[in-house]
Amino acid sequence: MLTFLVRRLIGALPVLLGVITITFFLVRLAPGSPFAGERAIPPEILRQLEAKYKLSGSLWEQYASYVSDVLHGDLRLSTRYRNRTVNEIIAQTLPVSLVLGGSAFCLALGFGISAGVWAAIRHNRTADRLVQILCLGGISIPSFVLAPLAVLLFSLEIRLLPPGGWGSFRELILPASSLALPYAAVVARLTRASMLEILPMDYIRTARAKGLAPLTILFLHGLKPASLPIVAYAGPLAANLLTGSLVVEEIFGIHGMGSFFVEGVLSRDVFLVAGVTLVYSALLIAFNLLADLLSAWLDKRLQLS
Amino acid sequence: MGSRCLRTLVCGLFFVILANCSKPPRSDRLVLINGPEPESLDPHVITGQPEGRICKAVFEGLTTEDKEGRIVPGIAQEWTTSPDGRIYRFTLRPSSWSDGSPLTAQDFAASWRRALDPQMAAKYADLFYFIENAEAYNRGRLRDFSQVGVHAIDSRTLEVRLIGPTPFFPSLCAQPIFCPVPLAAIQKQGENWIKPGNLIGNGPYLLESWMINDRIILRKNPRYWRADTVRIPWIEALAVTRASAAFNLFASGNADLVLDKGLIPTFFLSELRNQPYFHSAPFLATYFYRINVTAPPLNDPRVRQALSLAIDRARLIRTITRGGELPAHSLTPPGIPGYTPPDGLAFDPARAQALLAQAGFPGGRGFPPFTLLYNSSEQNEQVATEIQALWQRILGISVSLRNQEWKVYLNSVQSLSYEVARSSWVGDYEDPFTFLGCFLRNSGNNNTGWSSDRYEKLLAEATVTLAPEERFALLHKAEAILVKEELPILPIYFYSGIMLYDGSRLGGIAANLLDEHPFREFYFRHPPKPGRPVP
Repeated sequence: MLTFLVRRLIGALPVLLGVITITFFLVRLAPGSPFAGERAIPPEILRQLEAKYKLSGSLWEQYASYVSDVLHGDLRLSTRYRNRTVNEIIAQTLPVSLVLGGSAFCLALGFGISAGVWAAIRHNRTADRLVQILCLGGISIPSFVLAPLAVLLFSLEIRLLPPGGWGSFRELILPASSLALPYAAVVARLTRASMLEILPMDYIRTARAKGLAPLTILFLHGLKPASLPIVAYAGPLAANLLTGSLVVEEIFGIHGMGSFFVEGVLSRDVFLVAGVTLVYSALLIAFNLLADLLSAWLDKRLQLS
Repeated sequence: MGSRCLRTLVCGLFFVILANCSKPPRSDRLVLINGPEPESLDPHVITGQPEGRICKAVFEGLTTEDKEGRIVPGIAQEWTTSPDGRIYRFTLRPSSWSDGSPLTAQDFAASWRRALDPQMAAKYADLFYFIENAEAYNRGRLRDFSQVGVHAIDSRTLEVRLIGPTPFFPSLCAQPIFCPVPLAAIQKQGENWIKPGNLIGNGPYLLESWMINDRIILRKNPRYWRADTVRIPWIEALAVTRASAAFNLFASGNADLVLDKGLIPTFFLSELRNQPYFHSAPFLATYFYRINVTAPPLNDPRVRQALSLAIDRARLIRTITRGGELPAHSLTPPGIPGYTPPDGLAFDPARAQALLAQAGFPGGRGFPPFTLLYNSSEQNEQVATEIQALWQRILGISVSLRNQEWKVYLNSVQSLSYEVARSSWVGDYEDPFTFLGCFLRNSGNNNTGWSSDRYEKLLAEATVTLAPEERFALLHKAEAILVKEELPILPIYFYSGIMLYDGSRLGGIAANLLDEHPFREFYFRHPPKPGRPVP
C-alpha cells in the first residue's frame, strides 16, 4: 500500500512538470503580448514591463527561471492582475471552487445513489420508470440551460433565492444544484444498473434466508459491492465538478478559480494559466489516486499495483 | 397520513425560513455592478474604466469631476495660469491622508515622479507628456527629475510648467494617474500597499475589503475634506462580467446600479430601452474602421472616400446597435464645449460609385478583394456583415470577413497586418486632441501607415495657440483632412453610455459625455424596493 502510494506520487512529478512546460510554451508562443492593449505603449516602457515580470531574455531562459521559481513555491506575479501573485489568486479562489464543487459532488452522489437504489428495488415499477425518465432528462439538459431556467423561476419569478453572489447558504443552493443535477442522473443510472446485477445474486438470497434485516442486506451486502463502478466514476467526477464549474460560476457571478483560467488565456497571462493548470492537474491526480485507494478497500480482490 | 402531511409541512416551512434569512435592508449600502475584476487599484498602473471608478473614490487629484462630468476643484482649492498659458500654479486646500498625515504639494510632486519613473512602466504615462521634459524622463533619456516641469514651491503650492498652452490640463489633473499616492507606505509594504487594511487614500471612500473577482467594499472616509457631503456610508462594487448575471442581480433587487455598458444584455435591448430604469446618453467614444493605407488600392483617398460614402450608418444603429448610438461622420464625438466637429461624408451611393469609377474601378471591376478584420464579438460581426453587404451591393467590391481573438487582433493591427480593421477610441478628456493626437505620424496609436504634413502642421500650430476659438478652428481644419479628404479611418458610430438604475430611488447621478459618475455624489431618495419588472 505504502509502496503503491509512493510510486504514484513520484510518478505524478514528471506529469506536473510536463503540464507546466506545455502550458508555458503554448501561452508564450501564442500571438499577442500580455501587455498589449488598445492604447500603444512606448517600446521603452514595454521593455521595463517585460523585465519587471521576468519575461525578457530568450524563451528558454524565461522557462528555466520560471520552473526554478515554481519549485520554490513561487507562482509569480500575475501580469493581468498586476499587484497580485498567482499564489494569492489561487488561495482566494480555490476554496470557493472547492465549496461549490464539493457541495455539487455531495448532492450528485446523495441524490444519484438514493434514486438509483430506489429504482433498483422497485425494478420495472412506476418508481423505476419515473427515475429513468428523470435521469434521461438530467443527462440531456446541460448546466448552462438548467442554471438560467432555475434563475428565471426561483429568483425572478417567485423571488425565493438570489440570482447570484457568494457568501451565504442561500446563494449556494441554485449553483450547486444546477451543477450537480446532470451528474446525479449519471450516478443514479450507474447505481441502478449495478444494484440490479447484485440483488439477484445467491449470497443476497442466502442473507435473506438467514433472516437478516432488509436494510442491512440492501446497504451492507448490496450497496457496498455495487458501489465499485460509482467509486471509479467519482474520481473523475470530483475533478470534473471542480474544473467544470466555470460555466455555472459565470452564470451566477461566483468568483471561483475557473474564470481565471479563461481570463489568463485571453490576456496571455502565462503565470496565471500555468499556476491554475498546475493546481487543476494536481487535483485530478489526487482524486484519481483517492478513487483507486477506495476501490481497493471496497473490493479486496483488487490488487494495488 | 396525518404525520406525513405534518412532516412535509415542517420541511417546507424550514426551507422557506432558511431561504428568507436575508441581509438587513440596504438603506446605507449602495450595490453597484462595476464590470470585470480590476487589474489593480494603483492609480498609476490602471488603464480601464472599472478600476478607474474605484480609484477615483479612494484617491482624489488636484481636480475632479462632478456628477455632470464638469471639472471642479479637488485637492487644489484654486489655480492660476500664466499669460502664455504654460505655467499652472495650484494652491492646495488643507487636507489629509486617511491616516491623518497632511497631504502636501511635495506629495503630488513625488507621486508624479513615481508615475513617470521608467521602472514603474505606467501605460498612461503619456498623459504627462504635456509637461516640460516629462517624456524624456519617462523614456529614460533624462535622469534628473528636477528638470521636469513639476515643482512644489511650498507645502501648499504646486507649479507645473507645460511645453505649450494646454487648456485641458485641469481635466488631465483629474485622471487617476495624476492622483497622489502614499509613498512612505508603498516603500514599507511593497506590492501589498494596495490591500485592504494597508491602503491609505485621500478620496471620499476607504477600501474596506477586496475579494478577488467577487466584490470591493468601500467605506466612507471620515477624513475626506468634504466628508459631510458624502451621503452613502457604504458602497459595494460587484465584479460581474456576464450581462445576464448583471441584469439578474439588478432585476431581482440585489443591485441598485449597473454602470458598465458592456453589462447590458443586447439581445433584448429593444424591450429594455422602454423601461424607466434604462438610461442612455452620448459617450465620448467612437467606433470606426481603420484602413491600412500603405498598399494599393486602399492607398488612394478616392477609394477610401467611396468606402465611407457607401456606409448607411443610420440604418446600422437602428437595426444593429440599438442602444441610442449616433451615426459618426467625424472622429471626435459632438458635445465637447466650444468645438463642432466637421461634417464628414454621409451616405451617398451615387457619389461613392462615381469616386470609385474615377479611381479606376467602375462598378468595382478589377478591384482586388480585401479582408475586413474585427475582434471576435457578436456586435462587431453584425456590423461587419452589414458593411460587407453594402460595399458589395453599392460598389461591387468583394470583401471577406475575418475575426480574431483580442490579443491576436491587436497584434495584427499594430503590425499593419490587415487591410481594413474595426477599431474604437475612448476620449480621456473633453478636448478634440484626445482623438486627433492618435493620427500624428509618430503616435503609437496611428496604426494605419497614414501621415500628412498639413495635418501635422495644423496640430502643431494648435498646440501653441492660446485663444480657444482659434485653437478649435485649427483642430477643426485638421479633423476635416482626416474625415473629409484623406480618410485613413471610416467613422461609423459614436457610442452611448448606458446605465440601469431606478431614478426615483437613486439620486446624484447624471448622464455626461465622459461617463463619469463619482460615488461621492450618490444618495438614496427612498428606501430600497424589493425588485423591478422584467420586460
